[in-house]
Amino acid sequence: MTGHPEMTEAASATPQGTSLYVYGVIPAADASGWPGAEGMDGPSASVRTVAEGELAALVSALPADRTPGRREDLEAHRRVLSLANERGTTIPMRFGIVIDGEDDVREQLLVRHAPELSDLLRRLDGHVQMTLRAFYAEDGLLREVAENDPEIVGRTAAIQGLSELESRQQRIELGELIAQRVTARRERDGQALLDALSPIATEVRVDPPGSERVALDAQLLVRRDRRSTLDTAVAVLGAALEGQLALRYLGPLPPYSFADLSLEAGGE
Amino acid sequence: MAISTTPNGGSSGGALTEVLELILDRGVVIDIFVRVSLVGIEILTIDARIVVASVDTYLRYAEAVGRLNLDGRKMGAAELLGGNKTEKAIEAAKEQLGELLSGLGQPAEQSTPVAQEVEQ
Repeated sequence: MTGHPEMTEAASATPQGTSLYVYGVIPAADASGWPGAEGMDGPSASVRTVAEGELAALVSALPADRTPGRREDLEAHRRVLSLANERGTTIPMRFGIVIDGEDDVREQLLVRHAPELSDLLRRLDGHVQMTLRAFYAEDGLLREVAENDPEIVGRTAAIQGLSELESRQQRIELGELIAQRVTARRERDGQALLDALSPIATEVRVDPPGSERVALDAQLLVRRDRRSTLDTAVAVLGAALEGQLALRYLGPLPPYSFADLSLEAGGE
Repeated sequence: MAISTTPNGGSSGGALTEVLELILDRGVVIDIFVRVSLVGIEILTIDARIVVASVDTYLRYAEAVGRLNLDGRKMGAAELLGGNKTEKAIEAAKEQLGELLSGLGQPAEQSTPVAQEVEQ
């Protein structure tokens, strides 16, 4: 674990055999507040910054032979970025970025990608991410869709009393019709909800629904000074939709969904 | 193993679960520096996308609707014409929010990063 004689001496604060876990990038101007938070490798490896130009990377030491991936590691990533997000504008890195030393963090990340990262920092400036998910009550969507559709009601009645075998084809066709109606209804409801809220947000990302009960899984990039407006709007919508759609509203989160850069390394 | 004692540092499992997909799937990435080996993390959400296009799904839908004991007489043709219940509730909420929402400018740009797998 220690003492690889072939390894070159890394920058001063990064002892031999140690890599740096990179949580995210913040403005260099905000870097001063950082020493102190506990990093991924425990209290002995606190989070600090590596600054270059107008950017600073949030890093903590990690043994060179350690591969992040335990639940605690994910939790540390979430916790550090959440703290950074409380303090100011933060570009979150995807989980699992490990760079060999301070020099590489500067050269391979902060210098090489300064233009993209600076642009992204400006785009995210003063914003946080809020997650909004809308769920149908159990059976609620099916009932809504089926009850008001003469064709579904009719075809369902026509099958009653037939054996499974003789009605198989009819049931498949009925199910296909229901599936179409359910999808259409879900998309319509999700869009209506989004239309009500998107004037408050700067950007919106819609993720594919993770289950049949989900009408909407949206990420909203919202200015910090509009947060309370969004909170109020979600509360009013939640009350109006009581019994039909349950809203799950999370945040503030670091703008994970809007830090959509994939950087090329190496070259030149 | 370190036990965190910072105020917000406890292992808030719920919070982690809710953002797991974001942490693993979003954020800035530099390919050659990615070093991940997930241990004992059940990633239930990822790949649990809906596929509304199989015979099994259709049969399940037909069965579920059969169990609802639909009453044809309750059918509301008016609902079909005038928008559904959910849309009406949202419209009502928007009216209530009128002042709050006015003067906010253009709606945010909407995009879908992952292609919708549900076909129309």
